[in-house]
Order: sequence, then structure tokens, then C-alpha cells
Amino acid sequence: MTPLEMLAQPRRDPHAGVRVFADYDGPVRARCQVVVVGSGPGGAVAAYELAERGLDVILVEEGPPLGARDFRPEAGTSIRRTLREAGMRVMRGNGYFPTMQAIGLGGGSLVNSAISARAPGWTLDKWAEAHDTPLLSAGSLDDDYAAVEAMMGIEPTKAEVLGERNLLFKRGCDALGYSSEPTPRNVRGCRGSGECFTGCRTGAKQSTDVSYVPAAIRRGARVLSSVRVEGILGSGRRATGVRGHVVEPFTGKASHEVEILADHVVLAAGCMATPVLMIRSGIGLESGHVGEHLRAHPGLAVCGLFEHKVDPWVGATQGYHSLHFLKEGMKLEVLWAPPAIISVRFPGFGQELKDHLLAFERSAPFDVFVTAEHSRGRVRPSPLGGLEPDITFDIDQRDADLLKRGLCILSDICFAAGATSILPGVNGVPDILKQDELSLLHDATLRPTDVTVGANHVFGSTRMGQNSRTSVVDQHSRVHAVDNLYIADTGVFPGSSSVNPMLTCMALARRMARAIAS
Amino acid sequence: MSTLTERERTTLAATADAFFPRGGTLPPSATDAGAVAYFETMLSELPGRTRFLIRLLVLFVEIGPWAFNRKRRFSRQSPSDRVATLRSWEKSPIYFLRISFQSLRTLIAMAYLASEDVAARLGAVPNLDPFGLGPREEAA
Repeated sequence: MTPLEMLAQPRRDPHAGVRVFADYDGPVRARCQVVVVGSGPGGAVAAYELAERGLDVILVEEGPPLGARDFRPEAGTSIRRTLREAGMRVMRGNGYFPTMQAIGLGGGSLVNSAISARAPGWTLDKWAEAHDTPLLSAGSLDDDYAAVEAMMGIEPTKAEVLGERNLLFKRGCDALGYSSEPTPRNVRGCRGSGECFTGCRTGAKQSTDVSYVPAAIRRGARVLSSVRVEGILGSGRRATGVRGHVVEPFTGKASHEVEILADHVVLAAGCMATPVLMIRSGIGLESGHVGEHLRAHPGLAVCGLFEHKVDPWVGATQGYHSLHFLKEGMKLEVLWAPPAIISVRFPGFGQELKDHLLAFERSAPFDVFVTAEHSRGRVRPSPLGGLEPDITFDIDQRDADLLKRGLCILSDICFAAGATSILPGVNGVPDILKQDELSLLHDATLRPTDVTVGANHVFGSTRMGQNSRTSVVDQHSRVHAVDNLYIADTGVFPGSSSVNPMLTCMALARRMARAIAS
Repeated sequence: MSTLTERERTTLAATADAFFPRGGTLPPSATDAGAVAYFETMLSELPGRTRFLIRLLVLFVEIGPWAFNRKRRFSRQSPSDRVATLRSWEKSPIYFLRISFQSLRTLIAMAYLASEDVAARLGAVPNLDPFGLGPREEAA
């Protein structure tokens, strides 16, 4: 039996009980105690926790369930199937910054690299002090973090699946005296296939579609996939439910009408979609802050070239990271993505480009993201109509400077690990730099338009706070202006989580669910 | 049904082969590797708005040299002139040209590396069990 055949052996269907497109034969009318919009990290946790506490829950997801057999490791196909706007969404401002939002049961957890890190206590203290959330001090989320970690099987990446790409990062950090560690990830039985971003074909990643969603179903929750919520019903201080349509997977073509009436509505559509839904529905907007204060973690990558074979496609996708510079607002990570995406970094044309590509097997990409304390954006409905967001974001020069510092540190890590050269990817700096040429990078002024900055951690568009005039939701994630409308996505973050946001989003969703149930 | 016009297909083939011409250490050209067909399939699956923008990008590639520099349209240039045109966009002081170049390069690289032949020559073959750990234990 080949490894593929072994791994493809039938297992329990984690999506059993999920209503799919083919199951709908007419308009959908339903009533429940809580309707949850979105099955990503926040929504799935909310649905499970509410069902666990005996509430009648309907979880609605626009995308279809996607299983191991549906995933394709080829970048383009995967991106078109699993990401909104076919993966071509950008934030525009003082540059064009690619950003992504998943569509499918499990939301972002389906296509992220499974990094599940707690926000440091000092970060929560900072939120409490600077953003008016005194109930969210250090330690306040410990029970919620622990519960999610247990459910998701979160543990440090095992040494046996690190591979050379991750180990090079460790060696570089060790040589320079920077602390580093295996990333904590939500996986069970990871084989190190490096396919997190295109969907885990080994079934090891505990995305919410195979963890929280089936658990919610076992506790009585109804899960409707291929249903697009287009409006929140209600007025004044009461939401009464949601309306929308059944939609065909991948094409989004609308068919039957959907109306779900509920005592409570939880929006977990993601921080780029929830504000659009609220604005289009004209509900909960009294604060004037819905869609404002968008924050992100802008990130950059450098690619190290080594003399020996690295086989970067082997090993846990992002198996190692360094929190050494976290208090300065930087997190360093090993990076991996489908080869077609990483290959864009290789310079030149024609034979020169082909020669560089042949060095692919000797390369290792690392990335840095910054907390971008000074950069802001906003989310608005697209002027062209529909539910897609129009997202603006400006990277402040102070944050761009920090990104450049991170890029320089990553370059040092590459050379300390034995790289012979690096590909910095900065306009105005040579495509390839050797160690004795690093001053060219250090001396460069990096503007947001000089690099390709990605920002896949986005948050803050419906921020939390005590004051209803400066924030959208209270400290239990309830919209100030609506008694029974809640938000369970990263939009509620009052500031940066300093680390990857998924686990904190899930912990806050659990906290919110407890508040609703009580 | 075709997603691209014949003219768009010609422009795309000329662009893709400027990045990846035939021969050398990695023999298949972009068109040999099926990049244009891949691109067309991709385009047919994109939302209408995105498809429109990408077609606009292809049009820009074709007429950009003529519109901005009074040079021949892209597909009528010699292979070396095509590379020179693309290189001038890559290193341009104008952000719009650089970002257009980056978008084009990303799409073409995606199409080229989607070829199993190319991926195999690079050694980038998907492997679900690269460390030989055997069957996965069921989660409790």
C-alpha cells in the first residue's frame, strides 16, 4: 500500500450531519435559540459551546464542506476553491496588500498553517489599559485557552516532522542567541507534508470542520453549509434572525431563499465580512465605529539559499518560530506555501530564472510580521454592490521601518544558518545579496511600495471596549446597540494579539458563548 | 467555450515564454508546460470582476509598450525586446508598473509550476508522508 493509499483509508466522516447544497429542495425556514453565521474558528467554537450548554443552535456557512479528497496541492486550483475572490483580494491604501479570507466549512482554519499561540499576558494587559477592556487582563482567558487547546490537540510541532527548512531557522537563531521554539499547532498525527495552506490531505490538521463542528453536531446543533447570509433581520435594539440564499458551491449562484429566526444572532463571518453585513443590514451602527480601526499584521519574507539540499517542500509548514522580538512588535517564523507562490521570489527571466528555480531545492523562506501599532484601515461594502468588502489600509512608515528591521534580522538568521546568499525581495536592493553586501539592505529606506507585503491576520473592525461611543461590542462581545447581537471573529480584537490570532479568537468566542448561555 | 480571445492568447503565450522560454536546464517552455491553457481554465473559474481585471492586465501588457513608449505592441516584439519591456516594468520607479509586473509574474509562475513535469524536474513533488511515518493513528 502506498503512503497515499494508507492515508486515504476511510475514516469516520467528520462532516456527517452537515446539510450540503444537494440537500436543499426548496426555501429554508427555521427557528432556533441562536443562529451563528460563519463556521471558522470563532463561529464553530461558539456553536459548540452553546450547544454544549443545551441551547438550540443553527450554524450557517456559505462555503461547502471540503474533505481530504477535495484538496489539491496545486496552488492555483486550491486558491480558487478555498478563498474568497479566488484568492485575489487586496487591501489598498499607500500600496496594494494581498489579504485572504477562506470560504468553506471551517473557514480560515481550513487553509492556515495551524499555528495556535496564546496572546501573551502583557498583550491582554495592554488591551485592558489602552483599549478599555478591564475584564480582559492577563490570565483572564486562561481557562478558555486551555479548553480550546485540549479540543484542538494543540502541542508544539514534533521534532520528527520538522525537516531541514525548520531546523535551519532554529540553527540560525541558536547561532545568534535568539530564542526560538517549535510552533504550537492544532494537529493530530502530522506527517510533515507541508500542505497546510492548500488543505491538509492527511487529515491531521484539526481545523474546525473536523473538530468543533462535528462536536457541535453531536450536541444537537444543526449545520447548514452552502447558505449565504445576506442580511440581519430586526431593528432597533433587537435582532430577530438572518436571511439569505442557498448558494451553489464555488460559483456562488443563488437558489432557494433562507430565513432563520433566532433569539440571539452571533456574527462570525470574519472581520472583513461582519462589518459589511451590519452596514448592509443597517443594524448596530450607532457607535459609528463599525468597519473602522481595521488592524493587520503586515508581513514580509526573505528566502535563504544554501549549498546543501534543503527540500523546502518537506516538513511542517510553519514548524518553528521565534518570539525573541515580540515585545518590539515582531514575530519571526519559518514560512512555507505552495512552490508556485514561493517561486515568485526567484529573480530574472529566461534561462537565468530557470537556473534560479533549479536552486529551489536548496532554499528556505522565513517571514516576519509586525504588530503595526501605527497602521490603520477600514472596511466598507464595495461600491459595486454585493457583500464583498472594500478594504483600505495604510502602512505607517514607523511600521514599515520595523518590517525592514525584521527583514534584516531574518537575513542574519539565514547567514548564521549557513546560507550563501539571500533573496530579499526589496525594490531598489539587488535581487540576490551575499553576506558582505547586507549593508545595502540595512541602508535602504523601505517604503510600503518597495515590497510585497501580505497581511493575513486582520482584526479590529468591530472592536471591543466598555464605552459604547468608542467601540462596537462590549467585553462579552455583545454589540452595544443591540441587546441580542454578538460578534465572534477577530473584528472584536481591540488591538494586536502580538501572535497569530486564531487561538485568541476562539478563546474569546468561548467566553462570549458562556455569557450568552448564562 | 473560450475565455480568451485569440489575440489575448497570443499575448499571454508571448509573455509566458518571455519568462520561461524553451530549452536550457529546465527544458519545457511555458507554452510547452500548458501555461496558456491553464491560464484560460483559471480565468473561466474566476468571479466576473476579477476576470475583467486580469483581462485588462493582459490588454495592458499588449498595448503598454505602444501606449507609453511608442514601441511595437508586446506580441510583435522580438523575444529579447519582450524581456527588456518586462524588466523595465519590474524595476520601474512607477509603482503601478511594478505591481502589474508582480501580478503577471505570479499568475504565470502559478501556471508554469502547475505542470507536473516542471514540478517533477524541480523535485517539488507532493509527498504526503515524506518522513515515512506510516499510517496515521486515529485521534482519540
